[in-house]
Amino acid sequence: MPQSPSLLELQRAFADSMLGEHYPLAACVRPHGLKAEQRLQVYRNIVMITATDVLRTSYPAVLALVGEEFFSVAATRYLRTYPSQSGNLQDYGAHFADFLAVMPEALSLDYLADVARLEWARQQAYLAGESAPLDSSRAGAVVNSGLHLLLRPDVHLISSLHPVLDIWRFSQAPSPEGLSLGTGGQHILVWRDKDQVAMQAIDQPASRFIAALIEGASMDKAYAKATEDETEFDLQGLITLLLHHQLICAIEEHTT
Amino acid sequence: MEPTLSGPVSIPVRAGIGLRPPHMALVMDEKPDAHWFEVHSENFFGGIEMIGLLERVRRDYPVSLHGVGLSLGSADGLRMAHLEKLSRLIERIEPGLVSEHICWGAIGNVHLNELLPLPYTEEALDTMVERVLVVQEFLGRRILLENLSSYLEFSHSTIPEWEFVAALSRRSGCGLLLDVNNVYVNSINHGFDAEAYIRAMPADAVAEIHLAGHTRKEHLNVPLLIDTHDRRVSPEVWALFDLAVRLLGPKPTLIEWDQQIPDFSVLQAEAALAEELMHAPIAITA
Ligand SMILES: [Fe+2]
Repeated sequence: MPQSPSLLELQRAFADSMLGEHYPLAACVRPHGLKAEQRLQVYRNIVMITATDVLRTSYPAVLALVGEEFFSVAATRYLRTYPSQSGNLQDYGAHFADFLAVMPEALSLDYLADVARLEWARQQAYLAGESAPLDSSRAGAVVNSGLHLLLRPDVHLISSLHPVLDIWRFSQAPSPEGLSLGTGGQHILVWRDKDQVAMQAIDQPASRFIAALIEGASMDKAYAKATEDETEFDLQGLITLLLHHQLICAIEEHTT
Repeated sequence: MEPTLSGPVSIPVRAGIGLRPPHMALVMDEKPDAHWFEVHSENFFGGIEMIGLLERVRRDYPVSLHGVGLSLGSADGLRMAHLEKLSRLIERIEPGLVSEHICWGAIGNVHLNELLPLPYTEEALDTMVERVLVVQEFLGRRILLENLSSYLEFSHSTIPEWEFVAALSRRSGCGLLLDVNNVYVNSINHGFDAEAYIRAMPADAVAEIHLAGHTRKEHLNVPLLIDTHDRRVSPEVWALFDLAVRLLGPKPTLIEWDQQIPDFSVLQAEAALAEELMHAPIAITA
């Protein structure tokens, strides 16, 4: 580190000092009664607290499941692995599920990453843009056709081998009977309902149908996906659910 | 929903309150006494509900947009995506004032999401001036730039902070948001005369004043004040504010409180104290 670094050199070294173990910038800081490292550490702590607080707000169920101490270890390591890439802190924490999935100390909690995925979907649903719902009288005729059914931008689907919706609810309001983890996977539809986030478990064929729609498949292709293993698929029931909550925003014809 | 605002409303020369999410509902439902509100722009970048809430507040009160994430002082360029979001928010809210900080917070893809100090060098000053000119051109309006609290100084700084702040305004034409608490905090942390700092401010350029509470860090060899915004304004900062009002004239003045946010009535009481000093007759001293 030169004695008079350029602005670029200084800012890179500052960022390294915040996210790493060392203080490459210390030589450029006036000690003024303290150690230069102490002054940099004040900033490192502030950066860390801000980032941890954001994760705490976005991932309340993960926090409840692992406890404060574990959470802050995870948050510290997460910041160093996936530093924020946005000036808007609402974007921070997008990779927390991926991080937890490979965090050695979390491997025994094999459902944790999926709970985090659900929480991130909840946040995205809450922050998604507005869209006018479809006039429901148009929807009846289009079932199982080559048309495309567009879901609202706040609609998300989380599929897990674990009962993550039950786990999420338990983490927020634990019941004395405890929670059984052996009840199999859950597929959860997440959307925004006024100023709240709504969640509902759907069955596997329905989740395959929704996943296909989200990927841009036409209705008939999505139907084929839903029924590919010949399990029974209640398409009418699912469409009724989507219409009831006004989750469809358009029906389009694509020529591709 | 179509916007129903009828052009920007300027911020009055009164004491306003920093409006944070916990008080949004109260402000909309009860319309409490307040001369104006300032919000953090980034809180309203995503989330239709949030912007809708702010529009409702804006119908009843003048609103100032205060940014914390643009990172104007980054050596590697302006964050245009962020600026575009700010621009869209301004179009929708029609704020009386728009402000940001004399700082940086991001380099490359890494955002530290803090208000970080610049070295006070000619290079940093040139960078800031150029950025402010671009932003003002892009937004089609003057912005205010705020001096910041800091906990370190860079050894290669060549310009005193107050000269840097004044020069930025002179060269870019930006207004200044003088945070009197930040001046006090830095005067203790870096050992300079807070009054001289205030005297060095160009009175015409200062368009807003901030007041907030700070905390003293314990168990260190030297005093270190942290800009925590978690308590009432300290007596030393009130005294400095009094001086600023006499030297610069009364300015729109904001009470900032961001952590351990108290009852709204506490913020109103702080604002009332500021009003008293702003509108007190000038004492004649023997
Ligand atoms: Fe401030």
